[in-house]
Amino acid sequence: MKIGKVEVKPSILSIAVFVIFTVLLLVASINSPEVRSQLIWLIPCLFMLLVIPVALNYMSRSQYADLAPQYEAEAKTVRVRLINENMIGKPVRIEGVVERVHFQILNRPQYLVADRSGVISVKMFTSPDEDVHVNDVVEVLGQVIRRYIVVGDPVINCVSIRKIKKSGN
Amino acid sequence: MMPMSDETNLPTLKRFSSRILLLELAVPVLSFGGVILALLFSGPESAFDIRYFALGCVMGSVALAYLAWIRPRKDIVALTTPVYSVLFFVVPSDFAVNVILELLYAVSLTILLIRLKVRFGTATEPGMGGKRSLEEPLKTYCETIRGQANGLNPEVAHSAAVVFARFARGDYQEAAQVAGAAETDLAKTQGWPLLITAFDIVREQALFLEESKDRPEQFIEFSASDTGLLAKSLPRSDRLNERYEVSLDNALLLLFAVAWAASEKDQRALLGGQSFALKLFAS
Repeated sequence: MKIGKVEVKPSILSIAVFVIFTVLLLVASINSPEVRSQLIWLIPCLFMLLVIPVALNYMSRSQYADLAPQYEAEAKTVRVRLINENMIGKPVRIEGVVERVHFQILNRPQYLVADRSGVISVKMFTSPDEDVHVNDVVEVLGQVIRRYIVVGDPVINCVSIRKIKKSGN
Repeated sequence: MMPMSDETNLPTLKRFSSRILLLELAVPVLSFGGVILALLFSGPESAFDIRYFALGCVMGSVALAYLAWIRPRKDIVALTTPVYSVLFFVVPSDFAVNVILELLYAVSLTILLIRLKVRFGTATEPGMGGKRSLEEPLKTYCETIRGQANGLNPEVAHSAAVVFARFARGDYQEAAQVAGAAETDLAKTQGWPLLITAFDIVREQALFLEESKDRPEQFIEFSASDTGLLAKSLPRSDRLNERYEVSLDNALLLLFAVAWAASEKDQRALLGGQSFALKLFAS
Protein backbone atom coordinates (compact mmCIF):
# COMPACT_ATOMS: atom_id res chain seq x y z
CA MET A 1 0.00 0.00 0.00
CA LYS A 2 1.36 3.45 -0.95
CA ILE A 3 0.51 6.69 0.86
CA GLY A 4 2.05 9.61 -1.00
CA LYS A 5 5.59 8.54 -1.80
CA VAL A 6 5.80 6.18 1.15
CA GLU A 7 5.28 2.46 0.75
CA VAL A 8 3.44 1.37 3.90
CA LYS A 9 3.90 -2.19 5.12
CA PRO A 10 1.97 -3.11 8.26
CA SER A 11 3.45 -6.15 9.99
CA ILE A 12 1.99 -9.61 9.53
CA LEU A 13 1.34 -9.60 13.27
CA SER A 14 -0.88 -6.50 13.00
CA ILE A 15 -2.82 -8.04 10.11
CA ALA A 16 -3.16 -11.31 12.04
CA VAL A 17 -4.56 -9.43 15.06
CA PHE A 18 -7.04 -7.62 12.81
CA VAL A 19 -8.14 -10.88 11.13
CA ILE A 20 -8.55 -12.71 14.47
CA PHE A 21 -10.66 -9.94 15.97
CA THR A 22 -12.73 -9.67 12.79
CA VAL A 23 -13.53 -13.38 12.99
CA LEU A 24 -14.31 -13.11 16.70
CA LEU A 25 -16.60 -10.15 16.09
CA LEU A 26 -18.37 -11.95 13.26
CA VAL A 27 -18.96 -15.06 15.35
CA ALA A 28 -20.06 -13.00 18.35
CA SER A 29 -22.43 -10.81 16.35
CA ILE A 30 -24.05 -13.87 14.69
CA ASN A 31 -24.63 -15.52 18.05
CA SER A 32 -25.48 -12.55 20.22
CA PRO A 33 -28.04 -9.80 19.54
CA GLU A 34 -26.36 -7.74 22.27
CA VAL A 35 -23.13 -7.64 20.30
CA ARG A 36 -25.03 -6.74 17.12
CA SER A 37 -26.45 -3.69 18.88
CA GLN A 38 -22.92 -2.55 19.72
CA LEU A 39 -21.57 -2.91 16.17
CA ILE A 40 -21.78 0.84 15.60
CA TRP A 41 -18.71 1.36 17.76
CA LEU A 42 -17.21 -2.16 17.58
CA ILE A 43 -16.57 -1.92 13.82
CA PRO A 44 -14.67 1.41 14.01
CA CYS A 45 -12.66 -0.06 16.93
CA LEU A 46 -11.88 -3.08 14.81
CA PHE A 47 -10.62 -0.89 11.99
CA MET A 48 -8.49 1.07 14.42
CA LEU A 49 -6.57 -2.17 14.98
CA LEU A 50 -5.46 -1.86 11.38
CA VAL A 51 -5.37 1.92 11.02
CA ILE A 52 -3.09 2.56 14.01
CA PRO A 53 -0.29 0.17 12.91
CA VAL A 54 -0.56 1.52 9.34
CA ALA A 55 -0.32 5.12 10.60
CA LEU A 56 2.65 4.30 12.83
CA ASN A 57 4.36 2.48 9.99
CA TYR A 58 3.73 5.42 7.66
CA MET A 59 5.20 7.88 10.16
CA SER A 60 8.32 5.83 10.86
CA ARG A 61 8.92 5.02 7.20
CA SER A 62 8.51 8.62 6.08
CA GLN A 63 10.94 9.69 8.79
CA TYR A 64 13.46 7.07 7.69
CA ALA A 65 12.98 8.12 4.07
CA ASP A 66 13.86 11.71 5.05
CA LEU A 67 16.94 10.56 6.93
CA ALA A 68 18.33 8.33 4.20
CA PRO A 69 19.70 11.11 1.90
CA GLN A 70 21.43 12.74 4.87
CA TYR A 71 23.12 9.45 5.76
CA GLU A 72 23.90 8.86 2.11
CA ALA A 73 25.87 12.11 2.10
CA GLU A 74 27.59 11.81 5.47
CA ALA A 75 28.24 8.11 6.03
CA LYS A 76 31.68 6.71 5.28
CA THR A 77 32.11 3.22 3.92
CA VAL A 78 33.88 1.18 6.56
CA ARG A 79 34.82 -2.42 7.05
CA VAL A 80 32.88 -4.15 9.79
CA ARG A 81 36.06 -4.78 11.79
CA LEU A 82 36.72 -1.05 12.07
CA ILE A 83 33.41 -0.40 13.81
CA ASN A 84 34.06 -0.09 17.53
CA GLU A 85 32.63 1.54 20.64
CA ASN A 86 34.58 4.76 20.00
CA MET A 87 32.43 5.26 16.89
CA ILE A 88 29.11 5.42 18.79
CA GLY A 89 26.94 8.03 17.07
CA LYS A 90 28.86 8.00 13.77
CA PRO A 91 26.99 7.46 10.51
CA VAL A 92 28.48 4.53 8.60
CA ARG A 93 27.94 2.55 5.44
CA ILE A 94 28.82 -1.13 5.25
CA GLU A 95 28.52 -3.67 2.49
CA GLY A 96 28.19 -7.34 3.20
CA VAL A 97 26.26 -10.57 3.05
CA VAL A 98 23.21 -11.15 5.21
CA GLU A 99 23.86 -14.19 7.36
CA ARG A 100 20.73 -14.14 9.51
CA VAL A 101 17.40 -12.31 9.67
CA HIS A 102 15.24 -12.06 12.79
CA PHE A 103 11.93 -10.41 13.73
CA GLN A 104 10.98 -9.55 10.15
CA ILE A 105 7.30 -10.30 10.86
CA LEU A 106 7.28 -7.74 13.66
CA ASN A 107 8.53 -4.98 11.32
CA ARG A 108 11.59 -4.69 13.55
CA PRO A 109 14.07 -6.71 11.51
CA GLN A 110 17.52 -7.52 12.80
CA TYR A 111 20.16 -8.68 10.39
CA LEU A 112 23.54 -10.22 10.90
CA VAL A 113 25.71 -8.75 8.16
CA ALA A 114 29.19 -10.04 7.40
CA ASP A 115 31.98 -8.74 5.23
CA ARG A 116 35.50 -10.12 4.81
CA SER A 117 36.62 -8.50 8.03
CA GLY A 118 33.84 -9.47 10.46
CA VAL A 119 30.20 -9.68 11.42
CA ILE A 120 27.88 -7.07 12.95
CA SER A 121 24.25 -6.83 14.05
CA VAL A 122 22.11 -4.40 12.11
CA LYS A 123 18.89 -3.34 13.82
CA MET A 124 16.07 -1.62 12.02
CA PHE A 125 13.11 -0.07 13.83
CA THR A 126 10.77 -0.06 10.86
CA SER A 127 10.14 -2.21 7.80
CA PRO A 128 12.83 -2.04 5.09
CA ASP A 129 12.11 -0.76 1.57
CA GLU A 130 12.69 -4.19 0.14
CA ASP A 131 12.58 -7.67 1.58
CA VAL A 132 16.05 -8.80 2.51
CA HIS A 133 16.87 -12.47 2.86
CA VAL A 134 19.78 -14.60 3.97
CA ASN A 135 22.67 -14.58 1.45
CA ASP A 136 21.61 -11.27 -0.09
CA VAL A 137 24.47 -8.85 -0.67
CA VAL A 138 23.40 -5.56 0.88
CA GLU A 139 24.46 -2.00 1.51
CA VAL A 140 23.56 -0.75 4.97
CA LEU A 141 23.38 2.89 6.01
CA GLY A 142 23.02 3.65 9.66
CA GLN A 143 24.41 4.93 12.89
CA VAL A 144 26.64 3.07 15.32
CA ILE A 145 24.82 2.54 18.61
CA ARG A 146 25.19 0.28 21.62
CA ARG A 147 23.14 -2.91 21.58
CA TYR A 148 21.15 -1.97 24.70
CA ILE A 149 21.18 1.85 24.28
CA VAL A 150 23.77 2.57 27.00
CA VAL A 151 25.56 -0.76 27.27
CA GLY A 152 26.57 -3.63 25.04
CA ASP A 153 28.66 -4.07 21.94
CA PRO A 154 28.40 -1.69 18.97
CA VAL A 155 25.65 -2.46 16.46
CA ILE A 156 24.20 -0.48 13.57
CA ASN A 157 20.91 1.34 13.88
CA CYS A 158 19.87 0.92 10.27
CA VAL A 159 18.31 3.75 8.32
CA SER A 160 18.42 2.03 4.96
CA ILE A 161 19.23 -1.47 3.76
CA ARG A 162 19.18 -2.35 0.10
CA LYS A 163 20.33 -5.21 -2.03
CA ILE A 164 23.29 -4.56 -4.26
CA LYS A 165 24.80 -6.59 -7.04
CA LYS A 166 28.48 -6.50 -6.60
CA SER A 167 30.97 -9.22 -7.40
CA GLY A 168 33.41 -10.13 -4.64
CA ASN A 169 37.12 -10.31 -5.35
CA MET B 1 61.54 -1.78 33.86
CA MET B 2 57.80 -1.98 34.23
CA PRO B 3 56.16 1.45 34.12
CA MET B 4 54.53 2.87 37.21
CA SER B 5 51.05 2.49 35.83
CA ASP B 6 51.48 -1.25 35.37
CA GLU B 7 53.01 -1.70 38.81
CA THR B 8 50.12 0.07 40.44
CA ASN B 9 47.46 -1.56 38.29
CA LEU B 10 48.39 -5.19 38.68
CA PRO B 11 47.57 -5.58 42.40
CA THR B 12 44.23 -3.85 41.80
CA LEU B 13 43.44 -6.27 39.02
CA LYS B 14 44.36 -9.30 41.18
CA ARG B 15 42.23 -8.02 44.05
CA PHE B 16 39.37 -7.49 41.68
CA SER B 17 39.71 -10.94 40.12
CA SER B 18 39.51 -12.59 43.54
CA ARG B 19 36.41 -10.52 44.27
CA ILE B 20 34.80 -11.77 41.07
CA LEU B 21 35.68 -15.34 42.06
CA LEU B 22 34.09 -14.81 45.47
CA LEU B 23 30.95 -13.40 43.86
CA GLU B 24 30.78 -16.34 41.46
CA LEU B 25 31.02 -18.71 44.41
CA ALA B 26 28.46 -16.66 46.30
CA VAL B 27 25.72 -17.38 43.74
CA PRO B 28 25.41 -21.15 44.41
CA VAL B 29 26.53 -20.87 48.05
CA LEU B 30 23.87 -18.30 48.94
CA SER B 31 21.05 -19.88 46.97
CA PHE B 32 21.74 -23.53 47.93
CA GLY B 33 22.65 -22.40 51.46
CA GLY B 34 19.17 -20.90 51.75
CA VAL B 35 17.67 -24.18 50.51
CA ILE B 36 19.64 -26.23 53.07
CA LEU B 37 18.60 -23.91 55.90
CA ALA B 38 15.01 -24.08 54.69
CA LEU B 39 15.21 -27.90 54.76
CA LEU B 40 16.67 -27.85 58.28
CA PHE B 41 13.97 -25.54 59.59
CA SER B 42 11.02 -26.86 57.60
CA GLY B 43 9.50 -28.95 60.41
CA PRO B 44 6.07 -28.07 61.82
CA GLU B 45 7.60 -27.20 65.19
CA SER B 46 10.12 -24.82 63.60
CA ALA B 47 9.94 -21.24 64.83
CA PHE B 48 11.12 -19.86 61.46
CA ASP B 49 9.13 -19.32 58.32
CA ILE B 50 11.10 -20.93 55.46
CA ARG B 51 10.46 -17.83 53.35
CA TYR B 52 13.18 -16.09 55.36
CA PHE B 53 15.72 -18.48 53.86
CA ALA B 54 14.61 -17.54 50.36
CA LEU B 55 16.65 -14.42 51.03
CA GLY B 56 19.64 -16.56 49.94
CA CYS B 57 18.08 -16.89 46.48
CA VAL B 58 17.41 -13.14 46.36
CA MET B 59 21.02 -12.33 47.30
CA GLY B 60 22.32 -14.95 44.85
CA SER B 61 20.25 -13.28 42.11
CA VAL B 62 21.71 -9.87 42.94
CA ALA B 63 25.26 -11.31 42.80
CA LEU B 64 24.49 -12.96 39.45
CA ALA B 65 23.04 -9.72 38.05
CA TYR B 66 26.16 -7.84 39.14
CA LEU B 67 28.39 -10.42 37.44
CA ALA B 68 26.30 -10.02 34.27
CA TRP B 69 26.51 -6.23 34.49
CA ILE B 70 30.33 -6.06 34.62
CA ARG B 71 30.75 -8.20 31.51
CA PRO B 72 31.29 -6.54 28.14
CA ARG B 73 28.37 -8.50 26.66
CA LYS B 74 25.25 -8.20 28.78
CA ASP B 75 23.08 -11.22 29.52
CA ILE B 76 19.57 -9.82 29.85
CA VAL B 77 18.33 -13.03 31.52
CA ALA B 78 20.94 -12.90 34.30
CA LEU B 79 20.43 -9.16 34.69
CA THR B 80 16.72 -9.57 35.41
CA THR B 81 17.03 -12.38 37.98
CA PRO B 82 16.70 -10.00 40.99
CA VAL B 83 13.32 -8.92 39.63
CA TYR B 84 12.17 -12.55 39.41
CA SER B 85 13.52 -13.34 42.87
CA VAL B 86 11.47 -10.47 44.32
CA LEU B 87 8.38 -11.61 42.39
CA PHE B 88 8.79 -15.23 43.54
CA PHE B 89 9.88 -14.78 47.12
CA VAL B 90 9.06 -11.28 48.37
CA VAL B 91 5.86 -10.07 46.70
CA PRO B 92 2.78 -11.78 48.23
CA SER B 93 1.22 -14.12 45.68
CA ASP B 94 -1.17 -17.06 45.33
CA PHE B 95 1.50 -19.76 45.29
CA ALA B 96 3.28 -20.74 48.49
CA VAL B 97 7.04 -20.38 48.83
CA ASN B 98 8.36 -23.85 49.60
CA VAL B 99 11.64 -25.77 49.55
CA ILE B 100 11.01 -27.18 46.05
CA LEU B 101 10.58 -23.69 44.60
CA GLU B 102 13.74 -22.49 46.34
CA LEU B 103 15.65 -25.56 45.14
CA LEU B 104 14.53 -25.12 41.54
CA TYR B 105 15.41 -21.44 41.72
CA ALA B 106 18.89 -22.21 43.11
CA VAL B 107 19.48 -24.75 40.30
CA SER B 108 18.34 -22.18 37.72
CA LEU B 109 20.70 -19.54 39.12
CA THR B 110 23.62 -21.98 38.95
CA ILE B 111 22.79 -22.89 35.34
CA LEU B 112 22.58 -19.18 34.47
CA LEU B 113 25.95 -18.57 36.14
CA ILE B 114 27.56 -21.34 34.05
CA ARG B 115 25.89 -19.95 30.93
CA LEU B 116 27.16 -16.48 31.78
CA LYS B 117 30.73 -17.71 32.16
CA VAL B 118 30.65 -19.83 29.01
CA ARG B 119 28.77 -17.53 26.64
CA PHE B 120 29.29 -13.98 27.84
CA GLY B 121 33.05 -13.66 28.24
CA THR B 122 35.22 -12.62 31.13
CA ALA B 123 34.10 -10.07 33.69
CA THR B 124 35.97 -6.80 33.39
CA GLU B 125 36.82 -4.16 35.92
CA PRO B 126 34.02 -1.56 35.99
CA GLY B 127 36.20 1.56 36.14
CA MET B 128 37.69 1.23 39.61
CA GLY B 129 39.08 4.72 40.04
CA GLY B 130 39.84 4.74 36.31
CA LYS B 131 42.70 2.25 36.78
CA ARG B 132 42.89 -0.51 34.25
CA SER B 133 45.59 -2.49 32.63
CA LEU B 134 46.29 -3.86 29.21
CA GLU B 135 44.91 -7.27 28.37
CA GLU B 136 46.71 -10.04 26.57
CA PRO B 137 47.88 -10.37 23.82
CA LEU B 138 48.09 -6.59 23.54
CA LYS B 139 50.14 -6.36 26.72
CA THR B 140 52.80 -8.75 25.46
CA TYR B 141 52.99 -6.94 22.14
CA CYS B 142 53.39 -3.57 23.88
CA GLU B 143 56.21 -5.03 25.97
CA THR B 144 57.90 -6.26 22.78
CA ILE B 145 57.69 -2.83 21.19
CA ARG B 146 58.82 -1.07 24.39
CA GLY B 147 62.36 -2.37 23.84
CA GLN B 148 62.45 -0.85 20.35
CA ALA B 149 60.80 2.41 21.32
CA ASN B 150 63.46 3.40 23.87
CA GLY B 151 64.58 6.96 23.29
CA LEU B 152 61.69 7.76 21.01
CA ASN B 153 60.61 11.39 21.06
CA PRO B 154 57.52 11.62 23.34
CA GLU B 155 55.93 14.03 20.87
CA VAL B 156 56.07 11.40 18.14
CA ALA B 157 54.62 8.84 20.57
CA HIS B 158 51.87 11.32 21.43
CA SER B 159 51.14 11.73 17.72
CA ALA B 160 50.87 7.93 17.48
CA ALA B 161 48.29 8.00 20.29
CA VAL B 162 46.34 10.79 18.60
CA VAL B 163 46.33 8.99 15.25
CA PHE B 164 45.11 5.77 16.89
CA ALA B 165 42.37 7.56 18.84
CA ARG B 166 41.18 9.58 15.83
CA PHE B 167 41.13 6.49 13.64
CA ALA B 168 39.22 4.48 16.25
CA ARG B 169 36.60 7.25 16.42
CA GLY B 170 36.21 7.20 12.66
CA ASP B 171 37.71 10.69 12.24
CA TYR B 172 39.74 9.54 9.27
CA GLN B 173 40.57 12.96 7.84
CA GLU B 174 42.08 14.12 11.12
CA ALA B 175 43.90 10.82 11.59
CA ALA B 176 45.44 11.19 8.13
CA GLN B 177 46.54 14.76 8.81
CA VAL B 178 48.24 13.95 12.11
CA ALA B 179 49.82 10.81 10.66
CA GLY B 180 51.16 12.78 7.69
CA ALA B 181 52.69 15.45 9.94
CA ALA B 182 54.26 12.86 12.26
CA GLU B 183 55.64 10.90 9.32
CA THR B 184 57.25 14.07 7.91
CA ASP B 185 58.81 14.93 11.28
CA LEU B 186 60.16 11.42 11.69
CA ALA B 187 61.56 11.32 8.18
CA LYS B 188 63.41 14.62 8.76
CA THR B 189 65.18 13.21 11.80
CA GLN B 190 65.75 9.85 10.10
CA GLY B 191 63.62 8.16 12.74
CA TRP B 192 62.54 4.56 13.06
CA PRO B 193 61.65 3.39 9.51
CA LEU B 194 59.07 0.88 10.76
CA LEU B 195 57.17 3.64 12.55
CA ILE B 196 57.37 5.88 9.46
CA THR B 197 55.80 3.07 7.41
CA ALA B 198 53.07 2.61 10.06
CA PHE B 199 52.16 6.31 9.93
CA ASP B 200 52.25 6.15 6.14
CA ILE B 201 49.92 3.13 5.97
CA VAL B 202 47.42 4.70 8.36
CA ARG B 203 47.55 8.01 6.49
CA GLU B 204 46.93 6.33 3.15
CA GLN B 205 44.12 4.06 4.31
CA ALA B 206 42.48 6.79 6.42
CA LEU B 207 42.25 8.96 3.31
CA PHE B 208 40.72 6.08 1.34
CA LEU B 209 38.19 5.51 4.12
CA GLU B 210 37.38 9.21 4.32
CA GLU B 211 36.59 9.17 0.61
CA SER B 212 34.87 5.75 0.82
CA LYS B 213 37.26 4.38 -1.78
CA ASP B 214 37.98 0.71 -2.36
CA ARG B 215 41.39 -0.86 -2.09
CA PRO B 216 43.77 0.50 -4.73
CA GLU B 217 45.86 -1.78 -6.94
CA GLN B 218 49.02 -0.67 -5.20
CA PHE B 219 49.23 0.27 -1.55
CA ILE B 220 51.80 0.85 1.16
CA GLU B 221 52.83 -2.24 3.11
CA PHE B 222 55.38 -3.36 5.64
CA SER B 223 58.29 -5.27 4.20
CA ALA B 224 58.93 -8.93 4.96
CA SER B 225 61.93 -7.94 7.10
CA ASP B 226 59.59 -6.06 9.48
CA THR B 227 57.62 -9.20 10.33
CA GLY B 228 59.38 -9.75 13.66
CA LEU B 229 57.98 -6.55 15.13
CA LEU B 230 54.49 -6.76 13.68
CA ALA B 231 51.50 -7.94 15.67
CA LYS B 232 50.09 -10.11 12.91
CA SER B 233 51.86 -12.14 10.27
CA LEU B 234 51.53 -10.96 6.69
CA PRO B 235 49.29 -13.04 4.39
CA ARG B 236 50.57 -14.51 1.11
CA SER B 237 51.46 -11.96 -1.55
CA ASP B 238 48.61 -13.05 -3.86
CA ARG B 239 45.96 -12.36 -1.17
CA LEU B 240 45.81 -8.63 -1.74
CA ASN B 241 42.62 -7.87 0.21
CA GLU B 242 43.93 -9.60 3.29
CA ARG B 243 47.34 -7.96 2.96
CA TYR B 244 45.68 -4.57 2.70
CA GLU B 245 43.62 -5.13 5.84
CA VAL B 246 46.41 -6.75 7.84
CA SER B 247 48.74 -3.87 6.92
CA LEU B 248 46.31 -1.46 8.55
CA ASP B 249 45.85 -3.70 11.60
CA ASN B 250 49.61 -3.96 12.06
CA ALA B 251 50.13 -0.23 11.57
CA LEU B 252 47.44 0.73 14.09
CA LEU B 253 48.66 -1.81 16.63
CA LEU B 254 52.22 -0.58 16.24
CA LEU B 255 51.08 3.01 16.83
CA PHE B 256 49.16 1.89 19.90
CA ALA B 257 52.17 0.00 21.29
CA VAL B 258 54.58 2.88 20.57
CA ALA B 259 52.24 5.37 22.22
CA TRP B 260 51.77 3.09 25.22
CA ALA B 261 55.52 2.62 25.61
CA ALA B 262 56.72 6.18 25.11
CA SER B 263 53.86 8.50 26.03
CA GLU B 264 52.69 7.80 29.57
CA LYS B 265 50.34 10.78 29.59
CA ASP B 266 48.30 9.11 26.83
CA GLN B 267 47.96 5.73 28.51
CA ARG B 268 44.60 6.53 30.04
CA ALA B 269 43.20 7.61 26.68
CA LEU B 270 44.72 4.56 25.02
CA LEU B 271 42.92 2.29 27.47
CA GLY B 272 39.69 3.75 26.11
CA GLY B 273 40.66 2.36 22.72
CA GLN B 274 41.90 -0.95 24.04
CA SER B 275 38.80 -2.87 22.95
CA PHE B 276 39.35 -1.68 19.38
CA ALA B 277 43.02 -2.72 19.51
CA LEU B 278 42.04 -6.13 20.87
CA LYS B 279 39.49 -6.46 18.09
CA LEU B 280 42.19 -5.76 15.52
CA PHE B 281 44.37 -8.36 17.18
CA ALA B 282 41.66 -10.99 17.30
CA SER B 283 40.38 -10.69 13.74
